[in-house]
This record gives sequence, structure tokens and C-alpha cells, in this order.
Amino acid sequence: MKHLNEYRDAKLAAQIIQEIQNQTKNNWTIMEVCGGQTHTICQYGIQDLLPASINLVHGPGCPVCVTPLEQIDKCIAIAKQPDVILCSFGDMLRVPGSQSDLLEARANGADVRIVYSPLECLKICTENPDKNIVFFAVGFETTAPANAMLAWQAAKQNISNLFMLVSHVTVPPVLETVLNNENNLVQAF
Amino acid sequence: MCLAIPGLVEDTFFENDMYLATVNFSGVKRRICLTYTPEAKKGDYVLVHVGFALTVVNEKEAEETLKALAAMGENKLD
Repeated sequence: MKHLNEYRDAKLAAQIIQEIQNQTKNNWTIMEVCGGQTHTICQYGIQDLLPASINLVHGPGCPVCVTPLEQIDKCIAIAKQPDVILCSFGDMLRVPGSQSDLLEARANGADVRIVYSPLECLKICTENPDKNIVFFAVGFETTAPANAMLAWQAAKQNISNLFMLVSHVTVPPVLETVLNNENNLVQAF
Repeated sequence: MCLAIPGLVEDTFFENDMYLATVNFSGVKRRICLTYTPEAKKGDYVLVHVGFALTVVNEKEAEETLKALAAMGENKLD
């Protein structure tokens, strides 16, 4: 089992869609929370495969989409400092601030580096002792422990040139707000 | 960055009090932190997000889910 092909069985998918069609008797409004799910739903036309009585509402999106504009602007301003190496997850680079994005800052000479794991910042810190390394720590609950491990390791390894611009968000309060709205139509997530 | 992808744990080691592993993602090998999934061991599939294993993929559970899905499809043919 590779946990990939098994989930891409077109025949099985067609059968399941048929079964959903058969079983759906009422109207349903379902919100997907994550932007990645929205992307998959749109890319594969899942909304069109489902019965018309199932309405998918696109929810708040991923941390990348919901990072406040001010944080992006702050991050770009920090990245432009000459003594700074700005480390970020790759998908934050294209997120627009009020004037530009991190990709443009990099094109204009800022030292902006993409990391796959927050822990990669540790090596960048030790290799560049004369620079301040700033990690743009965004993410939901799933990413926070990874970013926390970076802070813990930096302290443990006596790394003094690491800084974090933190913009974490949690999901449950958002879902609660949606559900408590008097005009709410969402029945499930 | 929301994505978590499954990979195969090839070998494990400790460094700076972190439980680490070389994980193979369909041929691409990366160094992954297993500290949050201490039960993960060589030969397991783990779901990885930003360089950290979130969970060990339970092969039996995955197979059961697939079986249940297949059964759901079969019902329609009855």
C-alpha cells in the first residue's frame, strides 16, 4: 500500500458518488474549512459531481490566506533590513501585502529564504552568525508545534540570532463564530 | 503549507534530544522530525507536515477505510 493510488480509484469514486446521490434526501449546507480542500473541490469539480441538494460553502481558508495584511507588511519591512535573513514557508512569498509581496522584496535584493521545515532555520543561524534570522511563523494548530520546536531548539543550542514573527491562528473560535451567527446556514464542516 | 503527505520511515536517530528520521516520499528522501510521534518506527508510514510527522499511518485502519468505501460502492450494485 502506498496510500496514494488506493485513494485515486476512479471506478470506486464513481460508485461512491452514485451512493451519495442515492442517499441524499434533504438539503445540506456543508463548509470546508481549509483552502487546500477548496482547491481540491474546484480542481476536480467535486461540487458538480454531488447532488444539487448538497451546497458546499468555502470556509475561512488556510493560514496563508488569513494572515493579516499588517503582518505581511511587517514581514516585508523586516526582510528589507540589511542585517536580516527572512525565512518563510514558500507559499507565503506570493501573498500580497498592501504594497508588494515577499517575492518582490527578494527580487529587489532582500535575503528571503524558503524553508520546508522551521528547523532549517537553525542551520541558517549557525552559518550566518553576523545576521539576524527572522522566521515568519504562520500556521494553524498543526503547524504551531513545529514552530515551537524551532524556538525550543534555538534556546537549547544557545542560538542568539533567531527571531520569530509569529502569526498563529486557531480554528475552533472561527467555527464557533460561524455557528453562532443568527443567519448561519452551515450544518456541518 | 496545509498539506500533509505520507512517507516511509527508512531509519531513525536522535540529535539534540529530537527523534529524527530519514523519510522516503516516493523516492525523495528528507530528514523529518518524529518527536511528536514517538511510537513511529522504521518501516512505518507517517503523515508529514512542514518537516514533522503528525501521525503514524495505521495501515490496517487505512485498509479498513478503503474496504468500507468499496463496500459502500458495492451496495449500489445490489
